[in-house]
Amino acid sequence: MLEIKGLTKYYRNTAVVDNVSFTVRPGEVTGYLGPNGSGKSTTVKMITSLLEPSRGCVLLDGRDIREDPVAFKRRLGYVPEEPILYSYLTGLEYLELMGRLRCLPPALVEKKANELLDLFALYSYRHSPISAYSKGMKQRVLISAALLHDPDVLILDEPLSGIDVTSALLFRYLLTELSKQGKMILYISHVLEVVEKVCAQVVIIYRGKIQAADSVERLRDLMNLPSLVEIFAQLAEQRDLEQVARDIVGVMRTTA
Amino acid sequence: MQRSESLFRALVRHFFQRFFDTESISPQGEPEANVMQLLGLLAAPAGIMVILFQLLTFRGWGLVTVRSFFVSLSMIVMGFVVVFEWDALFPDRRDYQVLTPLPLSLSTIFLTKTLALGIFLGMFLLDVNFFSILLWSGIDGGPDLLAIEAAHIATVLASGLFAALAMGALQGILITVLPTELFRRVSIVIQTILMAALVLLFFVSPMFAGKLPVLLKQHSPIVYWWPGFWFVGFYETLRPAVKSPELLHLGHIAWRALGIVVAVFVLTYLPGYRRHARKILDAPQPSPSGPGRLSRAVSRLIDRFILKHPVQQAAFHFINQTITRSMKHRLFLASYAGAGGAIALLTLTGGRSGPLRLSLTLSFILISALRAAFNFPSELRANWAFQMCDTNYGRESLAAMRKWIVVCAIVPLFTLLAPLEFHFYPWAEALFYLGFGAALSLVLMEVMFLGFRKVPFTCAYLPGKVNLVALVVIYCFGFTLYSRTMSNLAEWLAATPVAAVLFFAVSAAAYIGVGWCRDRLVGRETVLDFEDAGDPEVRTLELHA
Repeated sequence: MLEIKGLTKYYRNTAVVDNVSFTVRPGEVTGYLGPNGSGKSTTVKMITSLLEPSRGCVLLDGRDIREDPVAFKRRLGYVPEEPILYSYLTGLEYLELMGRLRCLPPALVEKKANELLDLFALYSYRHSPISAYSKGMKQRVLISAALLHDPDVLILDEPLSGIDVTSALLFRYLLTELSKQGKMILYISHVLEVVEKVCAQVVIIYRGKIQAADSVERLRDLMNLPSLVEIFAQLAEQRDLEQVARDIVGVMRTTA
Repeated sequence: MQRSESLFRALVRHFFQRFFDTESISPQGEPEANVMQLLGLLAAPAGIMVILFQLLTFRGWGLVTVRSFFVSLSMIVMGFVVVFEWDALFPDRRDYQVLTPLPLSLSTIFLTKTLALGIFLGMFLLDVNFFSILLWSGIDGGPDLLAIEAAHIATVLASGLFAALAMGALQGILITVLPTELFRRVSIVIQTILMAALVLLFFVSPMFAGKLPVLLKQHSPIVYWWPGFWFVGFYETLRPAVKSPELLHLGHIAWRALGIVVAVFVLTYLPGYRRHARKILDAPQPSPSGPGRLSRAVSRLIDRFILKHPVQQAAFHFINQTITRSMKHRLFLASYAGAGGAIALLTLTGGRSGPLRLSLTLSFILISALRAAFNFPSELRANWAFQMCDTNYGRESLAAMRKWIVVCAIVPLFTLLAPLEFHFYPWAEALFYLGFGAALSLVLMEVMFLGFRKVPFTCAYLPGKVNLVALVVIYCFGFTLYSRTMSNLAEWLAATPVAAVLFFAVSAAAYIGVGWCRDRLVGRETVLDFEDAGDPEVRTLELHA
């Protein structure tokens, strides 16, 4: 079980993530939602040890990950928010690099990398440099790299960004299949329809603070709202969006 | 009208700023500071020399020699600037992706890009010649100050422009003549060769300048090979110093060459531009073939016999892929190769010990070049991939780096030098010298990389942090004292077999000893650096007792 306990991050005395606590259970997909700039990616960077928290800790199976960060990283698969890859490597070379850095045997790396590229419809591009890939193709390489070493914990930050309909559908099934395998999955996304379908529980963050953390059904009942989109809008967006839309059109039509 | 003018200006500014895109070196780096440093660095050689020459007044062939130095400098620096910005001569993929959806015609983009390129080249042209233009009248001892300045300005600017446009015209011809994929490959090779050649010329051209009178008197064909001499003739046509008919003839060649280069540049830049614009946004095509059979076989052999640990394999191949594919690193190493080539030319003329000193100097340059190149990041933001993986294997990454230096740098260097050594020395002596050089290189590598705790190319780098004084001292030692003392030692050892055996034993001990020191220094569980520590925000004087 992955437990996030009181995670806090200050930038210039402002808490961008403030006392965030929730749990990601094995065999479950936990959705982590929030508008842009709400602190989702900062939370994820602290969980993945890319950023030092100002306060709080992350426990994996009851042990603070700082006690043995290497052991934690061995069990972690991560898809970052932006598809930042070494653009001069080919897709296959990138997966080989990641597999070897994960200490997998070379023959296994080659087999797994080729098979994953094939399943993600990238096989014919495996020898092309990543610089020539579209955003969706890069995203699929990142997902493949995150799965290569069969991790127990998966942190997926906007994995559907730029991905086509077929790949998105495949990804939905993949999430369900991974949760059946007992993986702990933290899923950050703006695609609330997918979140609603695959997540056992959702955590909603707004301006660095947790607004809600429960199953979608319970949130629906508690808030008496029909869908996650409306729950999200009520918890995380306090502006009248219809009015904002009208204001945008107004600005657009301004001529002088 | 006003809107289109401001749009035009905005585009020119955009393209101009894109020439100084340095985000890839360090996200914390300040582009303006880097540009100012660069301008200062490029203006410095002419500044130093013109101040030194102020002490004397030149006439006749002496004046021609000094002119030749400044003309060559202008040409080499301008050639260097264009070669460095080789890929930026045309808008890149990102420019097209951002600008194409906007209501801008291709001709507007073309004109603004061309204007930005003109301003960029003009700025460097003035910068590199700034001090020589400012203080030239103190060097030329003739009367008529205005005519002296006018001739100097015209020549250094024309020669610099010629060099810049010649490079541009070469790219224009390549882009017009070659198919896109072939152009991409050939262009990489040509850019690298040109960079090395220009750095080499930077060091050897002052020697050329001094030889010009002799070469002209001997009617040597060499004077026709180096365009710098044509522009010395050009200078002579504007303001005669020696009234040499040969020099005047070279001047006429310069006039014609300048005309041809301008014409070729203009004729190839526009079609090249259109062709480039069409191809750059094409969707990627699947690439069916990966590395060739030979390349795969070599990789497998290295993995099997040299790199046992998967992390070693990862780091080794990553270094290989980055060195061969990163433009920045390729050009950086090409610059070192040019400097090495210049020193090779100088040392080869050093008598019997020349070839021996050559191998020692080149190995020193090679290892120090790699040390410097490994510090420069490549696609820095992608280093999260290394940070996310098992950091306990830092030792394996560092071992892979040293193995890469041995397998891909030291061994090939001495293999290339072997025929030269066997040509100059008896085989036993040559063999000893090669072993001597290789052993010293290994120890040198261990010493130079003693505190290095990075996977090459993955750590942020703050450009201003380099201690230039220390660097100059190290290089002066390497180029002179190191090769001279070590070649003397090698010659003595070659004549004393017992001492030679002792030398290899001491080298092995030093190699192991430095390795032991490194292990003590970095600890058994090596933590790798991914962020350059930089300077502290508050620097204390550490005066406490």
